[in-house]
Amino acid sequence: MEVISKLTIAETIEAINDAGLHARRATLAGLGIPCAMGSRDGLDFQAYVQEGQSLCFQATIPFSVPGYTDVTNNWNGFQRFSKAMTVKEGYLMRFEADISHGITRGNLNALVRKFGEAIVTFRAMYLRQV
Amino acid sequence: MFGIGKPKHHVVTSFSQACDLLARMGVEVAPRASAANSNSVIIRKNGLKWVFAGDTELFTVARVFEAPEGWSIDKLQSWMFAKNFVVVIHNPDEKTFILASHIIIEGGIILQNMARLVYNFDAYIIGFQSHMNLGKQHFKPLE
Repeated sequence: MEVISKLTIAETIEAINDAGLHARRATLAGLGIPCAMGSRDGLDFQAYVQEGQSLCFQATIPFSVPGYTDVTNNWNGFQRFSKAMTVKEGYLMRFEADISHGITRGNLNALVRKFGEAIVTFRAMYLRQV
Repeated sequence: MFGIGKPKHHVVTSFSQACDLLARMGVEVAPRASAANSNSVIIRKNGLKWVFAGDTELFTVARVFEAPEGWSIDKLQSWMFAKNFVVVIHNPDEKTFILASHIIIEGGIILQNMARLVYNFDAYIIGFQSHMNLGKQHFKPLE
């Protein structure tokens, strides 16, 4: 199995593109942290490496009002490939993986694919009216 | 340079392999009492214990607490915001919190990363207990 010892944004972008999720290089708003941005069915998400220790995925799912905690609690109880939280813009979805000792190429591809699936599933389950 | 080279990566792809390697690393891994829980074990460390479960896609470490009267959803969510790797679920029927960490293993996961999360889950338990003002009486027994 191929192991990436020190994951870079370039390799993350490659994995997002391999999954067909239209990657581009970006910067996390307000933080100045370089990230890879992907998109699945019109929903954007960011992936970035935090202090060389964690690979973090996040996406804001817009809603007309701040999200409902019973929705996020329901999601968190049944879906295991991301966690959902409420924010003033709607919902924030996140997933973090420990990469302090590296990551396999196969696992990176799985994380990208599963997070992309998670955000569109969340929208389909709870936000059909949007 | 002598003695310096690429670190050896050990890749884990199954739950039984993970349990075996954790035990070899000196982690206290005990079977669960119920035969229905064959894909999960109990990890013990410093007087605390938690469940470690897995299948071909995902490993999970988890601990269940009784939710005290008057707990705050905002406080619970603020903890989740601040902490990587963990999620907390409130079960309103059981009146419990489930503190969990999910580790996607599809494609293979590096042993050291997995072991760090599984073995150091006590830090999350203690942090959550403190943040939500939970006492020893709020720990639900493990089977």
